[in-house]
Amino acid sequence: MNALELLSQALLNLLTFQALVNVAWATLLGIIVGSLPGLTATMGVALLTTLTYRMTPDQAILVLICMYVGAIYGGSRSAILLNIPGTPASAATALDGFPLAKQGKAGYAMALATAGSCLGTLIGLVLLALVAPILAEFALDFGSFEFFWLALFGVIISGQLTAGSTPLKGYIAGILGLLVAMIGSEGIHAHVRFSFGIDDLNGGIALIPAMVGAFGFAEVLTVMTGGKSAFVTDKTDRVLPKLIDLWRYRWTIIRSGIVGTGVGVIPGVGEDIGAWASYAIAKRTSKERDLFGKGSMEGLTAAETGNSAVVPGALIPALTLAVPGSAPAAVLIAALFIHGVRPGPMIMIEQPQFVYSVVAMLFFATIAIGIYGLSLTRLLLLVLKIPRERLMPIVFVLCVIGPYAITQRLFDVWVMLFFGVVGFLLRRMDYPMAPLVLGIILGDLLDKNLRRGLTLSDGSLEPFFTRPISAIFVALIALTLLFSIPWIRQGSARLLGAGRFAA
Amino acid sequence: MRPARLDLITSIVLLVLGLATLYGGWSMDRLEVRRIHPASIPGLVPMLLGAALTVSAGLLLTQSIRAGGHRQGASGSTADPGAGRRLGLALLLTLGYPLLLIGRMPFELATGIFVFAFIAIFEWPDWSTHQARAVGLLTALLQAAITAFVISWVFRELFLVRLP
Repeated sequence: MNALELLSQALLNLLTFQALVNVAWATLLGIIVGSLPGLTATMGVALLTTLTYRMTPDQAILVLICMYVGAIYGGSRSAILLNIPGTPASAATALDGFPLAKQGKAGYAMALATAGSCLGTLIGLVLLALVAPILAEFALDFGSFEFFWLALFGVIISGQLTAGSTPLKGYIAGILGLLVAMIGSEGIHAHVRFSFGIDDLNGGIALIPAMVGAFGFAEVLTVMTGGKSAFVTDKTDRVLPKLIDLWRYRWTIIRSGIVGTGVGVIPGVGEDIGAWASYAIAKRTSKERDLFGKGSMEGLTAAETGNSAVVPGALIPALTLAVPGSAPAAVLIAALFIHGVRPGPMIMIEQPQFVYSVVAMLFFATIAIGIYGLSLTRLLLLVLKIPRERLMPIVFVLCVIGPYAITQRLFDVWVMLFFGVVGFLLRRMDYPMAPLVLGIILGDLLDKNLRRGLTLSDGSLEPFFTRPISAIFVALIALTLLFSIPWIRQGSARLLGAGRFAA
Repeated sequence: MRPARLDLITSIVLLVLGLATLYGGWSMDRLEVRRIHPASIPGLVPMLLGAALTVSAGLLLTQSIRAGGHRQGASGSTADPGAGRRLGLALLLTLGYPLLLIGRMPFELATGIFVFAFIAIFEWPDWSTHQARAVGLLTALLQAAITAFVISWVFRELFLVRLP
């Protein structure tokens, strides 16, 4: 069966009453979760994973993808109306969305955000359908040496790009994640490491309780510690985007869609970087760059297109390499394993229809955010008025019972609490969470492939550096580390600046 | 606490963790009796990670000392003074619910008490009149009862979970 037939089949399979109902409620729930400051896409996907483990695999994955797409889009609501991004992905949206709201154009800003998100996801899903099979085939050439470097590269690039001005904290977060992955029975000789005599640690730390803690409980503490936010009421302006505006920004939309998808492919980087990268490029190339930050429709469109395009982009390495492109994608990988789907290079051989099913799921979720975004603008404003004191206790109860429900052991609740408190403290000290999560998920891959590779080469390090793909990874890692040294970064920026000036 | 001071303390904790991991990996069973390849010993990656964490923590320690972290006092934060109190309350409630309530009484009751206490404690300063207080407490009680019932029912009846 060729790709087009598989895609048509996947779309037809989702045209059932049950699937459409699931798309409807999960996307709406995702938009609500994303729009509420303090509830992130990762938290939504992690909590929903605990609620979907009794569903059939295809319906469960559909629900989680709809939650993911909905939450990333939903973050734009509070970014525009409160100047508080509902999720970190919408931070760039707030820069122009909030000034537009203050000018009485909140409705239109949300309409543009909806259009940008839909188009961004559509561009991303086309690229997912085109790139994923090629990448999966390419990854079949990966051996232990390449997988080791891939895992290391993922943690390092994620640490570098998500830690802002202090990449060192990003690297430390990544190392801590890798250390967490070392706990429990290792994958080659089944030797139990760092269990400290606690039987529950023999199986290692499960990702879902850790994620629910780091993104759910930690968020509850963060929200309750912060001050209350002011609310900007929506003026009754237009809630449908003008086609002429979308046409005027067509190149910005296409470029942001491609940039967002590209950022999504980079392991563990995520939607916020996708939005910032798209925004920065749009600002650099725009004819109205003076308006950026003061209510630019182009800036808003670029940010929203960019962050939404990351979603399909992040699923490309998640499906084909089992390496997540973002934190919510990491939870999705855990959910895939729970439901018996094995992501990785073999996916196009073992379950080729699955990649196209994911494309179809993203397509349905995109239609749903389009419908909700344009029709429920005023209704969704009411959601933002729910006080945190009323919402957070419910979120916390779900944080406790969700991880417990999967294995029915209280140990997972303690894990959630531990990661919640540690995650909260690390976040307060500007340590990014994405490398930590990536470390937990890639630890096993890194550990097994380093030792397997060394066994294959009889202890020699040579193949780790001389095999072509390995050599490329080594060069990328070296460059990433070099550019995190402040004086090298500043020196190269000066050189580039001088070069541009001379040209 | 000031950022440089916090980094200084964190880097020392991380340095100790890194060295402990390095030692843990080094002293880990090398499974010689099973005649495994010496390059595949279970402690290899923990050793490397311990070394990497030690180096990174050392760099952070140097940076924080350069930023004057060792000279700064423990106080001096410019943060919202109410934030510490709110964090303390949130920690007390969120840790008290699973550690003290769950398992000692029916799940519904534990959840109801937690939700009611959370809302009442955090909203109390906003209730300025007797009437506002009465309405607030009543709605908090109602929300606590609904939350406890709905969540318990969904997990017990739909997901067939034996609640703690």
